[in-house]
Amino acid sequence: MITAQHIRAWLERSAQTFAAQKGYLSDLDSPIGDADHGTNMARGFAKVVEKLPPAANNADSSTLLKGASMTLMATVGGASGPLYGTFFLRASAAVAGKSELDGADLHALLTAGIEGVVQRGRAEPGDKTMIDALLPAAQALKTSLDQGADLVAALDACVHAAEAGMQATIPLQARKGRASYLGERSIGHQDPGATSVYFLLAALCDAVKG
Amino acid sequence: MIGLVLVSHSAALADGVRALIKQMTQERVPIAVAGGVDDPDNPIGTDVIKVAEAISAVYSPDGVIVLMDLGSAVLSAETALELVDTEWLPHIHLSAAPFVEGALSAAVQASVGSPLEQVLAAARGGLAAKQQHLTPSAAPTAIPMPASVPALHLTVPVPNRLGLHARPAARLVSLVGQYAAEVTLRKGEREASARQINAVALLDVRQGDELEFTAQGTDARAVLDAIQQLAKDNFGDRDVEAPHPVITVQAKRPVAVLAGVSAAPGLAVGQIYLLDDTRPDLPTGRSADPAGEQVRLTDALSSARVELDVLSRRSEAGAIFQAQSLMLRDEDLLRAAQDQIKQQQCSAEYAWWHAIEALAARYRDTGNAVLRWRSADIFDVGRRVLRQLAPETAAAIHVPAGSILAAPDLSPSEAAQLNRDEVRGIVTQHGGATSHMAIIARGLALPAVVGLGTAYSMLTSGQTVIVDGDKGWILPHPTAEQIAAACRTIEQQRLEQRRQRAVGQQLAITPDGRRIEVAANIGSAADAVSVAEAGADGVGVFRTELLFMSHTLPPSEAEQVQAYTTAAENVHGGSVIIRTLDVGGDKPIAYLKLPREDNPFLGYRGIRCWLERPELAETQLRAICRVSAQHPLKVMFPMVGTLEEVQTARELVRAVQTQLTREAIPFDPQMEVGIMIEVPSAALLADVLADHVDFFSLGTNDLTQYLMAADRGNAHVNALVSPFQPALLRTIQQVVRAAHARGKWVGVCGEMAGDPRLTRVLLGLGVDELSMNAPAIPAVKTIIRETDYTAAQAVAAHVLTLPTAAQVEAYLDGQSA
Repeated sequence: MITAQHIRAWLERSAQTFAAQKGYLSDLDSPIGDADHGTNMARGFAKVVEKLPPAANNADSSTLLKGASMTLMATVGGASGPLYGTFFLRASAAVAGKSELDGADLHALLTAGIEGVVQRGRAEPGDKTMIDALLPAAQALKTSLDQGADLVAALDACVHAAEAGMQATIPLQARKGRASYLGERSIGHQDPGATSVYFLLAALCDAVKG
Repeated sequence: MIGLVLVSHSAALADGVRALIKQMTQERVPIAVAGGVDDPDNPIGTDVIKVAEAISAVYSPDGVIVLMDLGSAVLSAETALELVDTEWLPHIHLSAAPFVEGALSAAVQASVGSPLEQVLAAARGGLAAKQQHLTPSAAPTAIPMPASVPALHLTVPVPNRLGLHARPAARLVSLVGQYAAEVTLRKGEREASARQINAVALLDVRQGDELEFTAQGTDARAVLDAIQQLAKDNFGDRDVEAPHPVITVQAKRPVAVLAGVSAAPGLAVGQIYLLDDTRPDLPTGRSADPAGEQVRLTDALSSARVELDVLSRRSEAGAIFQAQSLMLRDEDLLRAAQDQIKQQQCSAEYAWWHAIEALAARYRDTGNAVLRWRSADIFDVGRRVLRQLAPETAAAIHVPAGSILAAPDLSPSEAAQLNRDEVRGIVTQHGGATSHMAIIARGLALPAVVGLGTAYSMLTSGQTVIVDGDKGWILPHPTAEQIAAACRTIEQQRLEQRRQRAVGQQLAITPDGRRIEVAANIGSAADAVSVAEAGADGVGVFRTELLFMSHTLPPSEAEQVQAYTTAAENVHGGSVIIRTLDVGGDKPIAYLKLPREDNPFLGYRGIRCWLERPELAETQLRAICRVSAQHPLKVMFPMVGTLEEVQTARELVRAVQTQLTREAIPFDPQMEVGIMIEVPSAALLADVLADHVDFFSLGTNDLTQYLMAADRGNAHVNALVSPFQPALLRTIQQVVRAAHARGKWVGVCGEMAGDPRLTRVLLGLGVDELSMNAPAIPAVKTIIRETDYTAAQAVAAHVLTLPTAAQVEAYLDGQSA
C-alpha cells in the first residue's frame, strides 16, 4: 500500500533527482529546445518540497499532490509547468479521500494525470513528448497488476517501460512544442520531457521501496 | 466592462503592452497582466496561478479576453481555466490574436463600450492594418475587379492522409473567405467553388489527388500563394489520427476502449442505436405562405449559426462546430430547401430536412469512410436548425428497447424525454460532465459517457457495447466473458439497490411513534421516477429553474401543467412542493433580461424578481393551481425576507384562484402555501410570518451562508459554512418553535437534511420533514426508524449547549460512531 508518507517521499526524491540531473536534462534540451528543462524542473520541485505542509499536519496524498500541482504551475515557468501541474492536479482528484493507495488506485492516479497531460498538450503517441514515456508506463503497471504482481514489482515494470519509452523517443520527429520547429532535425535526440517522466516515476518507485 | 488579461513570458513585455494600452484608452479598460515567473535568476516563463489571479482581478460577466504570447503562455492560460469558478467559463475567452496588435485593438474596441463579439473580432483582426500597409494585396478588402483580369492557376497534390475531409476543407474555405477573388478547384472532371464547404468536401479529394485551383480577382495571386502554403502545411492536419486519448492501448493497435467523460454513473450493456439519421416527426403540411416559410428558414439558419459560433469558441471540439457553421453558410444547401418551399408550397421544416437528407446521402455515397462519418455532422446541424424551427418536433425520441442511445449531442429537452424502458445508457460525441444532459441522465439513473470526440464515428447501429459510466468509457467490442461479467455486476448492483429501496419504501417512524416525512429534492419531472424508487415519501422541493432554462422562451402554462403533473404522477400520490422560479443575475436565462449585478447573491433574485414579473408569476401559479385539482401539490416561495413579500405573494395566489373560479377551471382551494426560510430576517420573523403561511422549509445551504456572511465558493471562508454551526442550529430551533406554536409544520431542504450525522439532531429539534437528494434517503430513514424521538430530543438539547461548530461536529461524530 502507498501512504501519504510515500507520496511525500516521492516528491522529496523527485526534488533530489531533478537537482542532481538538472545539467543532464538541460543538455538534452539544448539541441532541440530552450536548454531550460533541467533548470525549470529543479526549481519547480525545490519549491514543491519547500512548500510541503509539515508532517505533523497529516495531510493526505490528495492534498500533497494538489499542493505540488499548484506550486509547479506557479514556479516551473516553461510548458512543463502547466503540463506537470495538470498531471498532479488530476492525479490529486483521482485519489481524493483515500488514505492508502493500492495498485489499482495508483493506476487510476497515473491514468487521470495522463489524461490531463493529453488534454492540455494535445499530444499524441509518437509526437516525441512526455506522453511517449507515460503511456507505456501506465500500461505496464496495469499489465503487471493484472498478472498478479505485487505493487513493488508492478512499479519496477512501470519504470522499465517508462525508460524504454524514453529511449524510443530518440528516432522520433517532434511534432509538439518548441522541438517541432526543428522538423527532421529533432530526430536523433532523446526527448527531455519523456526523460523527466522517467526520473519522476523512478523516484516514485524508490520512494515506495523505502 | 470587458476586461483584458495579458499573458507573457516576459513581465516587461506584458507591462509594456499594458502601458501602451493605458496611454491609448485613458485607463478605461480593466487590464491585468501575468508576465514572467517569480525567480530573479530566471524570470522568463509563465505562471498559471498568476494567470488565474489576473483573470479574477478583471472578471465580470461582461467578459474577459485573454491574450497570450506563445508556447507555454497558451498552455498556462488554458490550465488557469481549471482554477477559476466554472460559472465564469462561458465569459472567459482565450484569443488567438497577435499579442501586441490584438491587445491594442481589443482595448480600443472595448473602451468604446462595444459588445464582446466585436471586441473579439477586433482582436482577431489586429494585424489587418499592418498587413494592408506592408502587403496591400493580402488584406481582406474586396475591390471590384474588371472582367478582363486574367485567371491564375495553381496545381497542388494533396499530401495529407485523409484528403480534404471536413476540417481541412473548412480550413481551405475559411482561408479563401478572407480574399476577394473567386476561387474554384477542379479534381479531374469535377469542379467546385472553394467558398462552399459541402461542395469542397463532396469532391472527395483523397491523398495524392492533383487539385487545380483557379483564381480570378485583384488578389488572386495572394490567395493562391496562401493556398499553396496551406497545402504545404498538410492542409493543417497532423497525420497521426489517434482520435481521442485512449489511455489503455498503444496507438495503431485495435482500439479496446473508447474513452470519453463520465457524465452519469453505472454500467450498461446494450446495442448501439445511432440517433443521427432517425427521421424526426415532421409536419408534412403544405403551407399557404411559402414566402413566410422561406423567411422562417432563413431566421432559423442564422440563429443556429450564432449557436454554433458560440459553441465553437467555448468548446474543445471548436473546429467541428466551426465546420458545421460553415455548412450552414453553404448556399447550395439553402437554395435546395428554399426552392422546394417555393415549388411544392411546403413547410420550412419539411423542405429543410429533405435537403439535409439529400446532402447526407451524397456524403454517404462517396465510398470514402471519412466522408461517411461526416453525414453524422450533417444530421446534427440539420437537427439544430429544426430545433429552431419547431422545438417540439425535433425532441421526440423513440428507440428499440435495450438500446444504448448514441448521438452527436443531446439537448436537455431530448434527454428529459428518454424512456428508461427503452434506453439503457447514453453515449455522445460532444458535451461535458456538467451539461444539463448529464444532470438529467443522472436523475434518470441512466449510465452516460459524453465527449467521445472522433471515436464516436467508430460506433455503428446494432453493435453490442458495454458503457461504463463510472470510468467514462465504452467497450466497443466486448468479449462474451466481458459481457457476462458486466451483466453480473449490473445484477449485483440491482440487488443492492433493491435492498436499499426496500429500506427506503418503509415509512420513517421512530420506535416511539413520531413520523417524519422524508422527501426528495428534484430539478425536473423525470427526476421524480428515481426519487420514488429510492423511497421518497414525496418531493420536498421541485426546483423549477431547469424547466425555465431549457427553453428559449418561458415555458407555457400548458408545458408547466404537464411538468408538474408528470412529477406528481411519478411519486405515486406523494405530495409535491413546487418552488416558484428562483433566479437572479447569476443565472443565464436570456429572455428574462435580468440586469448584471456585482453581487447577485445579495441581489435581485428569487421572489424579489419573480413578483415584479406578473406575467411570469401568474402563469406559473395558474399551472400550479390547476394541477392542485388532481394532485397533492404545495407551492413555496424562495428568498422571502419580509412580511410584505409574503402578503403580496398570497394576494397573487388568491387573484389567480379567483380568476380560475371565474373561468370554471378546477383547483384545490386548500392548497398549502409556504415559504423558504433562507434569509436571516425571515428566520427572526418566523413567529410573524407563521400566521400567514401553512409551512416553512429551511433552505439551510443559503441560510448558513447568509448567517455566517460567508460564501461557500470562497476558499478563504468556506470553512465557516458548516451545518454544525451553533448559530444555525439555534436558528432552526427558534423557527421550529415559532411554527409549532402556531400549528404550522417545518421542513429542511438543504444538504444537511441528507447528512446522516445530523439526522438525530434535526429529528430532536422537532423538524417535521426532511428533503434531500434521493441517494441519501435509505440511510436517513434507517436512522429515524432506529432512534427514539425522546432520545433525539436529548441529543438536540445537548448539542444546543455546545458553543462551537467543532464541538458540535466532534460530539455528533462520537454519537454516530
